[in-house]
Amino acid sequence: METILTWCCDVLRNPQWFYLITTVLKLALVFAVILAFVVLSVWIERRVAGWIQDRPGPNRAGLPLFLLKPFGSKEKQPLSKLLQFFGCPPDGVVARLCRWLRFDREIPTFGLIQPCLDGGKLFLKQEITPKYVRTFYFILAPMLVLGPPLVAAAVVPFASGAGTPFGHIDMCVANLDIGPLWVFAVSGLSVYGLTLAGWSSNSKYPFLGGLRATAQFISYEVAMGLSVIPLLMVYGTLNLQEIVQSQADGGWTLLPLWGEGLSLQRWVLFLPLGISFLMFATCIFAEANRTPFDMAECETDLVGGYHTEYSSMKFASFFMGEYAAMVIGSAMVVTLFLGGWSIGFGADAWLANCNEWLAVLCQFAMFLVKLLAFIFFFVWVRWTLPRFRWDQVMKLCWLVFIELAVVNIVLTAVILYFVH
Amino acid sequence: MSYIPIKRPKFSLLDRIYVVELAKGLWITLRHLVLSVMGKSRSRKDFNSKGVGICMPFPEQRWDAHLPSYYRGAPSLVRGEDGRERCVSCQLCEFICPARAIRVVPGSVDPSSPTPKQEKAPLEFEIDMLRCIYCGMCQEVCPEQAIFLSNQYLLTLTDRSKAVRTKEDLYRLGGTRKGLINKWNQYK
Amino acid sequence: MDPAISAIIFYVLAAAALLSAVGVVALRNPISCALSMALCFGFVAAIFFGMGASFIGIAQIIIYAGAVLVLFLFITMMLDVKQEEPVSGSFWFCITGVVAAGMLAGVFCTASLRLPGAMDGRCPVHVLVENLGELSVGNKTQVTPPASPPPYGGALPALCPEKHGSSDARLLGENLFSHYSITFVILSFALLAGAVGAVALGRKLHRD
Repeated sequence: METILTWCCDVLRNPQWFYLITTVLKLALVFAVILAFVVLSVWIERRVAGWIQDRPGPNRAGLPLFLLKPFGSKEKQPLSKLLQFFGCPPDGVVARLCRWLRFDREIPTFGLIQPCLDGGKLFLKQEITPKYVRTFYFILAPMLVLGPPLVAAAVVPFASGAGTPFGHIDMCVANLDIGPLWVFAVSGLSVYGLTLAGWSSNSKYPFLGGLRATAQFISYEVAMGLSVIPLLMVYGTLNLQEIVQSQADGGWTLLPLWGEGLSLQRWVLFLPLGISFLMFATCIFAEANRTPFDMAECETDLVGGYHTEYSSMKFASFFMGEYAAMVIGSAMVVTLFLGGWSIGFGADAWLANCNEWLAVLCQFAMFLVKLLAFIFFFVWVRWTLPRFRWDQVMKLCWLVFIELAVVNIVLTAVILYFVH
Repeated sequence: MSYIPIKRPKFSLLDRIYVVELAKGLWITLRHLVLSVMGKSRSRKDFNSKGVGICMPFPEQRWDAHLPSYYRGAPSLVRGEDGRERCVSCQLCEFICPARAIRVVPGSVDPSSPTPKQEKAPLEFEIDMLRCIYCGMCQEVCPEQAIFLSNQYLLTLTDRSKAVRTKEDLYRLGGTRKGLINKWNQYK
Repeated sequence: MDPAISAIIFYVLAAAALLSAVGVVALRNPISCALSMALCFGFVAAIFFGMGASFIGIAQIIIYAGAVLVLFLFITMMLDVKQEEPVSGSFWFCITGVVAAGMLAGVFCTASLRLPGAMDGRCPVHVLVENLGELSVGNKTQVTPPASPPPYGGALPALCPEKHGSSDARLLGENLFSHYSITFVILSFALLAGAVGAVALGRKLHRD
């Protein structure tokens, strides 16, 4: 035991091994968070859609108690035993309330396991590969859609750093100096998946969907890259961890209410940054292929777009890829404009003074809350706006956004020149 | 001219900037969301809704009491007040049925029965509920007021063979109908 | 990270890049060609990352793999290019090809032999970083050398963040926008002229 412990300490004391081990741990955490959020955002999507349309949404899927039967349990026993344990009468108010909430039949999950069950269903469905497809690219395409968003998450910081006896851990899988560029580049690669899916399906509607996806991705990537430049000019760095740190110290980009944020110059800069936020958020919608920009899978004129010919788990991986892109997009918006992991109002520094690990936990929770809030915004917009027409989408990008972004950059430069 | 020019509305600059209109739309959907989560959606009284939004959580609460009198559920055969089978197996329903769900095998009435003038009654009467489309044509065409659409709407089968309803099932569902039909009395 | 391991990584990536580059020429289906080109760009970007030039690597991915090649794919699909027929070349055809390839190879060899430190078998980047003054020739404002050099052959900078100096994005930007700013502007005007020319050639003439 003693030798194992000392061996572990020795391994951890080597900085490279320490780096590798912590990186693998962070990688696992980020993967788990993203996949959990994919599932969660499917649930949010369907519940919020229901509420907006005055219906409950999927609220039934729970863990039925008859699953306990093989373990020698009778259906209604857990509830009555529990009630007995707490000394409640079996026909009192509490018992009736529990029965009304269906506790006697299932463990309620508010429909949260619905996406898991859907996934299971898709997994078990028959896999149909039409005869006329180009098989290699047909199989490759779903992987190319699901992979990039997961890789792009590597640079997103989810908490500040914390010290251990063996060294400092930066709560970001890869703290690259090119953070936003990495996300744009890697998540832009998922266009290959859409294009190849459209082409290899060898039928007309998927092909049109693939072409639309290509054109839309390329156009909006330009606008997206240009729209964040004012922000990068203000913060003067491409490192996401540093951007978030300066937001924690001097006020979030869209909420400069503490630290330096109260100065006049920050509020003058609020104008270009606000425009930048609107444009960036819109471009993220287009990049994540979400309504009102889901031209590539527009059901009304393209049947199902690029995934018309797909079935079973291949279809599901397109679906998951779309939601993963949505999660990454939200993470980018949160990191760049809404303060990332920072709790705000100077609470970060105060917490870090108390206990670094407590601060890290709180910041991580804060990051997840912000992420959820922006995912909710994604869904909210989806159920508010109708789909644009194809020419409107292209016009919005090439005739409005790119010009506006360039003007915005010049405006920011002028303001910065006069401020300094 | 084979097309009609539609006059598009002129949008003001504020409309075309889109942001304000977007905010208005978001406000509408948010209001719906909040109201339905709080269980205060508009016109939920009219739909007799109990849960979130304006929906009735089905298996717990049913809409049996709110069915209109003209509701078209599963078809059924009825007996008269005197216990007589009203159906005279004229087979009009079998011929009119657009889905060909009905199959009638005619039989004769026992001469010793109280209404020997009726002469015919169905020997077998089957309705395939997998074919039935609840159109109500059988009810309309029936000259004897013998077949009616009931308000039964729950059809949950575990087997396709159970979908075919026999004469006994149909009479059990229909029961006795009020109102005497004196057509087949011996006095007429 | 052992220098040997990073050397192995380099050689594996380089071999993969070369293989996929061969694929671009050898494959018959134009879509496969385009995709193996994308793969090649990816491996080259990975080599750049290994050298610590993350900005150049990511620019490689964004511009070449993310935009240019996607446009290639787009056009190839739109035009529906059929599978290429193997051409049986004539004698002169082969000779011209071999001569052109030889000249290109000669250019590359000369260029790589002229790299600093190439003759005495050292890593050019290492040498460059050692005499960093040479990098900013004629530039009066001395570029501050990175706190510790991120040369190839040492530890991979991506794996040792504490050794990571100032970002190469900043270095590149400072060089491009101070020392080479006029060249940069002229180049971008040339590109703009090219784009305008393409639009002028490509647009339909309205005659009515």
